Amino acid sequence: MNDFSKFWIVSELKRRSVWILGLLVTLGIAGLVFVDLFSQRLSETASRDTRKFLSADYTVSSWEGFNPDLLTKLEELVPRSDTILSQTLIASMQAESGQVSAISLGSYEGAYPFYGDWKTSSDFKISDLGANELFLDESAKSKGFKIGDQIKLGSQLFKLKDFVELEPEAVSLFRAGQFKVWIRYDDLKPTGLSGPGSRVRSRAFLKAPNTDSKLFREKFREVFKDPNLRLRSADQSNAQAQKTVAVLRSYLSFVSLCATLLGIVGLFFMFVSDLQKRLPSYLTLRCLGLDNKGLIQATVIPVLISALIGSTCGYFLGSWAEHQLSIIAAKQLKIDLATPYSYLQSYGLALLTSLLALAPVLFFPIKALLRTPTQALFSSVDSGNNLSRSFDRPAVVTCLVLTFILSLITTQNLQLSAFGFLGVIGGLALLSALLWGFIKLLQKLLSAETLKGFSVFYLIQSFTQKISQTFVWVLSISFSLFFLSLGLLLATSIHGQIDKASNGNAPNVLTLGLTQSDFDEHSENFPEQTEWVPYLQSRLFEVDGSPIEEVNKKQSENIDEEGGGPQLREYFVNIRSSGDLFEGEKLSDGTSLFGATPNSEAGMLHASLESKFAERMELDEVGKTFVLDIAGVKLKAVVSSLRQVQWFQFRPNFFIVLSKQELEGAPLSYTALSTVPPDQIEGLQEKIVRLIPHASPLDLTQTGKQIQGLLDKLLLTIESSSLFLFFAALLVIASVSWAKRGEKTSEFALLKCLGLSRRSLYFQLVGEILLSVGFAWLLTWILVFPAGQIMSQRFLDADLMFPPLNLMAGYFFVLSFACIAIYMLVNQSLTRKSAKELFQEDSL
Amino acid sequence: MRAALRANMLNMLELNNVVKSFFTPSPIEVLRDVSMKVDKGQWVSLMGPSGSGKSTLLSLIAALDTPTSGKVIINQQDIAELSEEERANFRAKQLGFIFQSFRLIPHLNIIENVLLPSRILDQDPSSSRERAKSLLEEVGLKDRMTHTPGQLSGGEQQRVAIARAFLTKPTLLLADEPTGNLDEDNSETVLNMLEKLKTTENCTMVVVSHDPEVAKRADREFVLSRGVLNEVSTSK
Repeated sequence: MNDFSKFWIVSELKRRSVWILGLLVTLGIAGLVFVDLFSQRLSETASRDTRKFLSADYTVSSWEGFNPDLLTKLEELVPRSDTILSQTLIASMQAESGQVSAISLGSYEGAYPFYGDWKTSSDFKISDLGANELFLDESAKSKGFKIGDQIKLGSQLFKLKDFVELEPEAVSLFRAGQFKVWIRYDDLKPTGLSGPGSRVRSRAFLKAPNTDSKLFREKFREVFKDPNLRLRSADQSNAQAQKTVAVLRSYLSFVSLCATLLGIVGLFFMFVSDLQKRLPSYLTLRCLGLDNKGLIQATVIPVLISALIGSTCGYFLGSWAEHQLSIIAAKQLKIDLATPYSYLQSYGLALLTSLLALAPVLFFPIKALLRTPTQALFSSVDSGNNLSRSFDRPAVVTCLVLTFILSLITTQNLQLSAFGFLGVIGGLALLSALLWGFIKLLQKLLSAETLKGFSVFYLIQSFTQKISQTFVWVLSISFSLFFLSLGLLLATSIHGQIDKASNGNAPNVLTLGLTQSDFDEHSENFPEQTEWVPYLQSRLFEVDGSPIEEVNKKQSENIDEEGGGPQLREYFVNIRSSGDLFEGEKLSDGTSLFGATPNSEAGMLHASLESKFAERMELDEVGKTFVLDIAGVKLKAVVSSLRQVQWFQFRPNFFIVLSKQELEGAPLSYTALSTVPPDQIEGLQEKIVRLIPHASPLDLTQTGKQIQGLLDKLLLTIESSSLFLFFAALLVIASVSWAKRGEKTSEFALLKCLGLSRRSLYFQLVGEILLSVGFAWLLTWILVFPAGQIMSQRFLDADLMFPPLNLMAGYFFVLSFACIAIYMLVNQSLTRKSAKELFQEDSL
Repeated sequence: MRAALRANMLNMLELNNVVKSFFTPSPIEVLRDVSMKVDKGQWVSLMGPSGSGKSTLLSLIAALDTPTSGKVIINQQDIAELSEEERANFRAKQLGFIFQSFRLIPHLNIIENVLLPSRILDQDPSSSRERAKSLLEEVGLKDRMTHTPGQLSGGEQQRVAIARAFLTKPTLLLADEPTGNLDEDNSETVLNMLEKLKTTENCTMVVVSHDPEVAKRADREFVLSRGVLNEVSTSK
């Protein structure tokens, strides 16, 4: 590099526009790194818990069954450090202060290490509990309990020592139970709550990542020989969590891909505009003797330096922001978010993205620059127009291909990248086609002759004739608004479904764990508005003539042994006395719930299956058969109908429904759905638990609120990441405005000369922006509704609900304001410099 | 009689002791005590070196700016007394403009470009259209009405600009280097058109130009040098 190049590069680095480009790279890379690291963190979190996790659910009906040796016996099978034993006694308690609450009582004997030091955020240790002392979950504070309260458990008084906020790690281990109270193991028996007749659920959580599950099951049964003992794999919920995270990660990657594309387009416009402006300078340098190599150095190196610094700053900014968000998210959601697996990889991605993004931004315009003849300096027309724009199409194609490559690097998933890429192309094509149609229609309806008045005429002409500007504006706004609107639409639908399900007439207390004798003895003690839902436990043995093992092999690799994991074997089966459908159900196949089928045989049960379950089990056709084990008896059933279930109804529903008539005399269990005034929910819970200690009455309104809270947070994440795309769109608008500002100033200068006042010019400008934003907004909602409907049906099993009009309109106004603000910022002297712009000399 | 005639031939353009200063970054006086009187129907040429203040003077006459002191009176109207809106309206009704770089709107076709001033004034579309067609015929571009500026040569674009300038029958036409971007033949054509239209439309013209051919055709010639205006000679 010679002296002149060094000198020129240093002087270029003093130019504001080079650093504006660097700043834009910083912001773009920050967003990209943020999304990448957050996606990594989500994936790591979800995959972390997929270590093999078995739970032994041991339910007995007497204290004698409360087996303290369970843990010792389990030690024969797995190392002590990998086992957590929890034993739950379902009981009620009464505080001295008169507050009464039905709470599950838990006694925890855990290993980390054994009997010991189970840490929480308040450094709680089980060994901190003295005799007749208890800890309460912090949520009990809302029920009026205070430290020092005397609380009666059975016949013993306990002192409330402290409240406990569970650490996320600990929470994740207690999958099945909600432990609200902690006492020492030795204090349990004296309370008398654990006498004969008490229901004890003993549960061991076994982390056995390296254990052969099949071998483990065999040994387990050998050791315990107890038919009540069921071994479950926790993989099902893990798989679901992984699926959810995969969907979220895909969405984030897709948004990131779109934003990258828009960012590249924005940078492209900016660079080309800058190059055009400086074309006379570069041509002059050539006149003075600078060769092509020198010219390339002069133009490229300053930009690369700025981009490199921008990428590094962007990386640090993005990773800091992501770290802050993860801290907030972990606290809010009480989830321990994993560490992203590679910060270095993310930095590499940042650098690679900027280099790849800059490649088409630099290559094509500089190629055009090198081809521009120096004689252009002496041309009679403005030499800035001599930079050929024939590279526009190749540049766009290159941008798209690069974005695909970047997506591949980010997601490491060809299918996802291809799908995303095609989605982007398809979306752009559809938007373009719609916009083209609108423009043609406008032109036809509103020809120059029919338009009265200057303002409307000029507005329509500018919109319909300045095609490239219109397209860039409308498409970039539509693109970004699409994801924001989709998030809003889904949020509205979910909230609407939950609100509908929790309205005044919906059941608000769900009682689980009721037996036939509970029903016979206590049903009259339940509120009048109580629906009793009977069910049986069953096991699948055969599906459509194939043994269950063969079905397993096709389904998943994580299925446990012995004919398949619980998710494919053990089901609660609803027993219905009539063929009526529940609210939120509708038939998707079959004429009625238990209608006759062509190939049913005598003695066969008629079954109605949930449609997605049926699809998974390959029983998605009326007439197919399967074999169930109910209370030790193998029964053959035929599919008589398929049901679609809206799971947002917050009522129990079942994959399999059988007719009561066909199962007369079978031992039934029940859930009860009661409706009471909201202020009577707690009282009902207390009453039920006193009458039936082993029952679990749940407040459904609380459940609904919890789900809403979680969904709100999820949707907030989605909307926040969509904002990233929105800012990318604003970048494009800023870049296009920057690129066209010379043209715009000339145009406005002329209009001012012809008699338009400054106020009229501003109205004209605002009108143009509002028209573009308005079209973009309209196009977006045209596409969002069908997309939302598909997603709502596919992922939420819910109908689409329209968002409030004020929210939809709000997007229009916010966008308009943002676009107008950006435009004015870029074109600050739009009307002030008009006179100077027109006349060639005397620039001061 | 003579007094009546003189009364009818009131000054079209009058500059009385006009001073224009700019104060950023440091105070500088661009126009110093400029005075000029131009009769109706006259063609005035304005010359001067770069940086002499020609564009500033043109901006003042075009009512795009107001003097620091002194008066600019066009058709008996003191420009400084008008509000910004009134000045805009004034420009639309009374003035016509021709620029060195033509300044046509690229996304409008030729007839639409020519019709712009009448649309701004909200004049009757059909009569405006007729006039526009007639002017385009005058400048020899009637067959190119639906073409866009990008499809025309420089000379043709300037002729369109001339047609646009005369559409609303301005009383004063301002031209800034009208032949600056044209070759000799086109320059000749443009100047001939200007001369013809000036006569038929009875318009006063102020033309800024370095071209001596322009100065030759002018009725009066002024030179602006370091902010000071001097009349050189009466060309005709």
